[in-house]
Amino acid sequence: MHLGSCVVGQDVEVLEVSTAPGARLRMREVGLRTGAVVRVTQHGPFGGRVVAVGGSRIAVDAATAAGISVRPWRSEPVGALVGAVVGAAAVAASVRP
Amino acid sequence: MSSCHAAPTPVLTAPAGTSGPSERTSVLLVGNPNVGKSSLFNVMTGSRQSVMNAPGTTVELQLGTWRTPDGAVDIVDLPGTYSLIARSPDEQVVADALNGTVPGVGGVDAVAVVVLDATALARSLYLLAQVVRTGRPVVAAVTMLDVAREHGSPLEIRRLAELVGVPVVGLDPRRASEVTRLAHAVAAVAADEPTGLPGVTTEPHLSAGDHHDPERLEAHLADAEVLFTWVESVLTALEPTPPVRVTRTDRVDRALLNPVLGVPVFLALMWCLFQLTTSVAAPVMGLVGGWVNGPAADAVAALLHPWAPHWLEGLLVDGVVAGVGTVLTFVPLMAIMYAALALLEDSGYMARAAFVADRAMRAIGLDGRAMLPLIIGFGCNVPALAATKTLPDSRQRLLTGLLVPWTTCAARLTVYILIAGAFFGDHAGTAIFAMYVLSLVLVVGGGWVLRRTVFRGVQREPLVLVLPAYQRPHVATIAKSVANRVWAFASKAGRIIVLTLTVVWLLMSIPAVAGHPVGDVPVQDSVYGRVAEGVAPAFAPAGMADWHVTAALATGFVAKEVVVGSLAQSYAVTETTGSAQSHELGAGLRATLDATSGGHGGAAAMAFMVFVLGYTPCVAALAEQRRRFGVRWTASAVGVQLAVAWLLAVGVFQVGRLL
Repeated sequence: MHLGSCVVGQDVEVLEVSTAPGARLRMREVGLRTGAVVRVTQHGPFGGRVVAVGGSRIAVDAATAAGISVRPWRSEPVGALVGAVVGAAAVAASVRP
Repeated sequence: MSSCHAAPTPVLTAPAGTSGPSERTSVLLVGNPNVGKSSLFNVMTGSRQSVMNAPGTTVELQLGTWRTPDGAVDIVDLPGTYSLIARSPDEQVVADALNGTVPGVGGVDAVAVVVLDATALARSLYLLAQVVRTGRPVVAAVTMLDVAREHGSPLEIRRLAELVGVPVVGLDPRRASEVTRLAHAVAAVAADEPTGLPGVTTEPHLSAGDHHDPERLEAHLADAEVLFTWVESVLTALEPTPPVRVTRTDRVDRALLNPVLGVPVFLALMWCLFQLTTSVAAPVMGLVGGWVNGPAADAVAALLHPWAPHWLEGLLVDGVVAGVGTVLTFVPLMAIMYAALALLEDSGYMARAAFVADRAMRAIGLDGRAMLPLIIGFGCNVPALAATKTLPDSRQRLLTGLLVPWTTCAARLTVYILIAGAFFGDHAGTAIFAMYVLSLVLVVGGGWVLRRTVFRGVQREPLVLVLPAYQRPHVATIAKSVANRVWAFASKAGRIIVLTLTVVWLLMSIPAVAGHPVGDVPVQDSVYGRVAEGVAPAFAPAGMADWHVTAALATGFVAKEVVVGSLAQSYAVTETTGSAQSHELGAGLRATLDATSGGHGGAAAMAFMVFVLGYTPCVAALAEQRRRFGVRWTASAVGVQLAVAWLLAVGVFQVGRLL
């Protein structure tokens, strides 16, 4: 999935930023770098997206948004809980006769 | 640096009230765009400001004197930047100034005041880290503390100062009382030895930021990674980052950046701006013009009449006073324009306008913000050229500034109405509409050609735009900024306007044949008339080789409004407002152009309108272009505009006469 396919309000973690070499550093400098957790706050005209990076808002055009690979993100306690539940279920399933 | 840098005369003098090299402290004001840096500069300096171009560039720097309890301080407000690894000429000037390589700016001992945004601390700290590593004394000033608190992330200033290793002052840049604390911090740090960045031992990679050279890019990326790690460590040591909240700005953006409503809202705002610079400004300009050309000119004439010779009275009243009057009529227009721009910038909408207009402007290779000056240009080219200042990259400012003269301003419309009315009868509206279409074609085509020739180096970059939070504009700050900018226009562009109009008056007043006193010459017998007659054969391929026409076009160089008046004068029609007089002038023009075009008067009239659209708009636009982009670019633009206008006029006539 990429940033352009996210719905408004969705928190995502940036996996990879694929863009023109000239813009790579600037994207990182404004906070759009691998591992960053961002939220899409607005769909703009012509497919543009506004994302929240910390307290600031960054607007990107449709092509740039499509070049930012992301995955859904959950906060650590929830993520850990989900992981634990899924893990326990898997263990239970594996030990069931 | 890019080939499109102009080389205007650098102004290296210190701002008013400052001395030369001395023991005085110098400050370089640095920060991300929209962090309140300019507001801080205005509060620090009040009206003690001046503007200069960084040597060899068209990048504008604000200079000022800050009167502090610890003595006067010279300040340079550098362009906003996210990084010292520059991606535009403006950012390069910031990097050079901080590395001490810009003559007359700061010097090696200057204190860098880095303005940090508490709501975007990571981005601000990255720039702070780069500045600290330049080895000069640094003070950090944090703004937006109240907004950060509202967002649930209050910032502990003392803790931040411990972590970053430089003095940190929290302040509202619009409040003078809080700025005094910053003055004390600057005075203290200026006397100390600078310290490095705590926990960072690697040397910075200082080469110029050519991001298209893979080797350099990798070096910069590696260097940036060191700083990102440092920034993360500082942020982790501060309060943990709170989850993203829906802010008031997000709620406003739901309407203003809505996929459906965003464009209509933008166009409505642009329409308001257009109205402000045309319908609202026109009556005020008329009042000022009427006062200068009426009571003021009469008063000067009355003072001179008893003793001054006729030619001197003419020179001072019709030359100098008329020139000053032209400058003064532009003052309300420029004030309205600057106030509107400041309002859009200060409120936070300007960046949104760039986002909304990006797609359309990108198609012709321009920045989204270029839409604004191009729209204003259809009202008047002079404030449109001034509006190019909102573009963050000097190459984009120049590119847009070269295209603005081809937006057909309201003054040209007066010429179209006269010519189209005289030649095209019921189809006059279509002929005028064709001029607007041609204007768009010239802007788009001109942009296309420039991007493939002199602006080849300007890469089309992905749009990554930081949107500032909306805020209530601060009236006093806007008023101060408007006053400073209007004064800069009146004093710099104004000089050129007055000088040019005086020279034109002289040419029209000096007789080329005996029998006329100086200052009382029919146009055709003046030096001006003779020059027009000499130039006329050059317009034969466009079907308009006649001195009436070329004299009017030459006057149009001064202002398009006077083209109609000039034609009326040369055909000895006293007024052009009544329908009988318009009819008489139209008949004269038809007779002339029918004769010069071999019976194809309509084609010649169309060629005349096309030439009026294509060549230099007016002397005020020329003066503003020179002020912003320097003599070389302005002279080149005039040459290209004349060549394009002539070629188009010839093409239109030659095709038109076959139809």
